[in-house]
Amino acid sequence: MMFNVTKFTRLFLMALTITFVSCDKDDDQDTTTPPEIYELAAGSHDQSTNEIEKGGEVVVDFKVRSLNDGLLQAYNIEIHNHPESGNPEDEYLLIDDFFDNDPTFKGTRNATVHKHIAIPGDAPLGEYHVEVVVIDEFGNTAEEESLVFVVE
Amino acid sequence: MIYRSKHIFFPFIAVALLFISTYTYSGKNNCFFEVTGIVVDHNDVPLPGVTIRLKDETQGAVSDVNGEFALCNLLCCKHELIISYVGYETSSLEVSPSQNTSRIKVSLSPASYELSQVEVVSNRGDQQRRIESISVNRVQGDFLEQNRSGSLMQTLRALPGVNSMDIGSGISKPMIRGLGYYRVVFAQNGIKQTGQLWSSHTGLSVDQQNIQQLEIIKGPASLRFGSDAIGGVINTLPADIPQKGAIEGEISFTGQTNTSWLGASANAASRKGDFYFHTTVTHNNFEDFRVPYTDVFLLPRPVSAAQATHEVELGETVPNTAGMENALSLVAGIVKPWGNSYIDFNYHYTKTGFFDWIGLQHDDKREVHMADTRDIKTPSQEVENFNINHFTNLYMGDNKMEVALGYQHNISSEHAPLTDRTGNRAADITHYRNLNNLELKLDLHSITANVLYSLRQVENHTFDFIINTAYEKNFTDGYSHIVPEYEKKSAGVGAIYQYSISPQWIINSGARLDLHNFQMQETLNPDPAFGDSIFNPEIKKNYTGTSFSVGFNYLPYEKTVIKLHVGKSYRIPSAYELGAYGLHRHEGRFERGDTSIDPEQAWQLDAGLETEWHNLHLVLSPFLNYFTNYLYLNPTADLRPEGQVYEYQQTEALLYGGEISMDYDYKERLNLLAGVEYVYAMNLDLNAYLPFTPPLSAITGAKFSFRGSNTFTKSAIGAEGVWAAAQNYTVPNELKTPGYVLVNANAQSRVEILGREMMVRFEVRNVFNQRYFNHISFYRRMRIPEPGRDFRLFVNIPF
Repeated sequence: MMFNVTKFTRLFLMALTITFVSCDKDDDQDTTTPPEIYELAAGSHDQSTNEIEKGGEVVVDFKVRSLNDGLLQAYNIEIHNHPESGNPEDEYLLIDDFFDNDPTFKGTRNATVHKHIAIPGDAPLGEYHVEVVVIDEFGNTAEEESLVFVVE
Repeated sequence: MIYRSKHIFFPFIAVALLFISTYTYSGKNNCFFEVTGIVVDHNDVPLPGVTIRLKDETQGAVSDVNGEFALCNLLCCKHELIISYVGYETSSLEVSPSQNTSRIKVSLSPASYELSQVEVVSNRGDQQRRIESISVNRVQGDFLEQNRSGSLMQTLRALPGVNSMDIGSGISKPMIRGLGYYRVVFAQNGIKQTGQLWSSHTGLSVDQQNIQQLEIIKGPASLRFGSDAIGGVINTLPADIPQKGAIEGEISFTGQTNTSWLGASANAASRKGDFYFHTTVTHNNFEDFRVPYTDVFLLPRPVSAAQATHEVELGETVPNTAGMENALSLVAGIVKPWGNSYIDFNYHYTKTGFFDWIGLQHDDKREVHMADTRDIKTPSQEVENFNINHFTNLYMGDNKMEVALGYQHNISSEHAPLTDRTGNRAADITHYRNLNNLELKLDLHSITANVLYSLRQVENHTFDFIINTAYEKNFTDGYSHIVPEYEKKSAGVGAIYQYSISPQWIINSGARLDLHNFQMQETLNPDPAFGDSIFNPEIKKNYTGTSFSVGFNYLPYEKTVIKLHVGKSYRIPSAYELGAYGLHRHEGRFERGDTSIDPEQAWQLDAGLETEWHNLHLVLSPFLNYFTNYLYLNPTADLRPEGQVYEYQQTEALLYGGEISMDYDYKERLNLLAGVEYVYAMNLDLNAYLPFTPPLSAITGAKFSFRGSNTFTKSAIGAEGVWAAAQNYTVPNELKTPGYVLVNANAQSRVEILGREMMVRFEVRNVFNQRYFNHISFYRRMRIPEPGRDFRLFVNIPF
């Protein structure tokens, strides 16, 4: 009987040791570090100004790189103003497009995006927010923001 | 050691008594008398099942459900009564025919003096821990009083292995050993609360002031509670039945500086003859919570772990996190020699504001939000929960039957700014804006009927037979959609068997079968111009769930228990996992269910070692859960205007870890404690981690009790240190959380003023105003730190 107790205690302690030791994964694939957006700029074609006339076009430039072990998947560009009412429904959207099939982006680890967005003649004047969201194959997202001004 | 000194005199008293009794016995013959009385515990609560016997004789009695007993036909001489009960000090009492021997009151005190700050477990709970193979903790009113925090789970998280998923100051959900949400059952005396399962930001609908005791099961409890109890159970237990003729009650006040919290609660209990009642009324009201120091708040999309871009200075206050709580409960019952029967009605209402990370980006909205710290604006949540339950306990000799019938109605509404993307829903948007911007309303009716028959007449063998049936029906309303209307029926039968092979060995085993029928209605898109035309198809599904377990307890020495338990549990998919389609507003993501998803299945191994050496009490409880099927929400590479799309998926998963707790008493004056908990959780299919895993953490505390004076009694001061490691095991879009150290301090005393003994407790949480993040808090992903320094005052006045 006594022998059994010792044996059991030893097994029990062993189980404890297994439980509390070794917390590292064997295979250290990084699936959680989000991608990085850099050199985001929105404005004229040469990015010399961010004041654009009505009826002209905004050019959005940015670069993205994957910082984990996965590939880039898609990106979203949204440009909206902040209306005086403070009501998001009254926002004027220049663009809210999801690009999930861009061959220069999808499946790469480094990408450069260059987009032209037309400003209609009836767009309200003022400050607009440019929001870029990128997403990788694991679902990690990254977001970056810039400003443009629509002028007469 | 008071009781030890008593033991020293024991033999003398006994010998003296023996002389006296022999002497008197010889003098008088053939005369009989009767002794009647009541046995109560240290809180004056009647104790049923207490053995009362005559010393050195076989004659004796057992107290009934009211703690009452009677000994008839005692020979006319002095007798010594020995009153004993598991977990209590054995007491003795002299009786003789010359004294008044009717209605004697015997008060038993707990077997060991407990002063633990982190875990005060009743001695009835100790007994339960000795004989159950799973990890069961019974928590009593003392613990709840001394750890009282904003919500029930925030109070209970001081227990190792138990965590609180907080949603601001006033709402929380349980997490046990890294499993939470659908995987932990919250039950009221065995009746599962259904309304809290809606989302990770729907808290428990319970008034913690109304709870006198509860049990926490860490690990699988599907056998007793059916589907969903895969991770554990928090089961509130009924309050003790008041003594005959008693009218008692208490008023308590709470004040907290951080949230300008004002709370009051009153409870009363009374019993007249066989009828008794309890009632509790509670109101709590709190402002926006404050964080340590002025900082620039970053307002990212909550799903994004990326660097935040919206920099907005908000100061020390987290806007729109104020809230309020109202609760009422009534219990009316009857107690008879055959048992008792009572009706329990509860109403619980909460209203809480949510941090408006979208609105705060607009200057004008930000001004409105920051102007008033007590006001609750949109986005906000209102939860109304009614339940009415009827419980009957029938004692049939040693056996017992419990019948529980319950009806619950939960209405959870969310209010948020509504937007019409296409202009096609103009009529809808006007309608719902007039309903205080009703974004989503989930209206759930549940009916439960449970029967438990406990067979105790066979010595060393106990059998419990369980029948559970439940019906749920959900209606939805509101401008947005996320979960379909559904109807769920379930029925389960089970048996639990315990065999005490010898005083050292106990075997526990059980098996259970459940049948579930799930019917979900088809939901069509009200605006086909935007998104899919069908949100979710109609489905009719039947699920069969089996659970079984076997465990043993080995008790080699008096205060040592070694346990091992293996069980298989399951959980059927929820309405979200099957049919979600829509923006889960405060989670900041678009969720999509999968109708083909299978029930969760888990194999669970639990061990335990509990021992006491001198005044050191040590508990070790490691566990291992292997899920052959685990359901989780996985981010996809799909983005919709409402947010990133997350899909419910299934995987193999492994969770293991454990808790260690130590407690040391020095001369009943100084109490030291330490506890450590750890969970490691892996998604085996993806070779990645699982979200919302609490970090390695430890708690240490010291409490010093003073000798009382006439005015101040039971005075004590204490300090507590909480340490948490960094959590770097995260999933995509989950932020890594740095570690932290926190210090809390408290002082308490009973003060006698005008003949009333008041309990006053003063506490400082986060003494050093440390800025830290709680990995499993709802606001973590919005980068909002936990509340800063908080002074709290609790006053209880009994009447």
